[in-house]
Amino acid sequence: MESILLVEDEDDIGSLLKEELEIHGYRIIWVKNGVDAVLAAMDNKFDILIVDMVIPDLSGINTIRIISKIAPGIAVIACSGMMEKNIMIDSVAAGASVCVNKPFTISQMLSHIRWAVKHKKGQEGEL
Amino acid sequence: MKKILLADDEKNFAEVLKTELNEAGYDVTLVRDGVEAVIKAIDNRFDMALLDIMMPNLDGVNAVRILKKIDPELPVITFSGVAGSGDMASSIKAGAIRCLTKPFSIEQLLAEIKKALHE
Repeated sequence: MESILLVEDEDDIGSLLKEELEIHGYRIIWVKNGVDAVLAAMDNKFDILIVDMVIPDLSGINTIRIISKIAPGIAVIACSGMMEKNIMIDSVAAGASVCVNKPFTISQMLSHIRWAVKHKKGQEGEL
Repeated sequence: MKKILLADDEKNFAEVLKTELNEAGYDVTLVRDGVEAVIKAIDNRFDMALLDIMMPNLDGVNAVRILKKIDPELPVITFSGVAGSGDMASSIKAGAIRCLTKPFSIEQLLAEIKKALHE
């Protein structure tokens, strides 16, 4: 079972995403800010990080930077309500494989997850 | 030579502190915010960390929480610009051994460092 670290401060989105992804067979740990995400990534091994760009304590970009350093093999999906070009560039530079605009459907997210994991494995194979 | 991680976004203050600590015989790595401090601590081993509380991107208290997770034995001293603001309690709760209120003398800081490093 693949494990996902979900970082989302909006309760309705976080709880819905957690529930739906669990139904599809993923193990989810959901936190609501960047600092708790970093601490969770030190205690657990995750395959996938799904992170909102606007979260408290530590920005999404900096959360990706630190977690990619702690867990270089993690596949990262960056989400934002306003995924502007500069945010996309910064997200990818920080370590994201996919940048997703909100709102999205569960089937879109599942497809992003599969692609991000495949992309990450492909990157590791190149090393 | 003992290695110290110093994180402070006040450029002049940080440069003076770095120079003084170098002269006192410490190898100092200076960064400007909490995120850079965490990234340096993932890549390098330090004997001690000195962190300002008020920093961009990641504040000193949350930086202490993460640094202590990376290295539970790392002694951390924080600096607060406002006495009695609650920073001291938050820092200690996060794992710092001491919170100094700015301004402080270099002698005071060196005494705290030596105490923390058992020198």
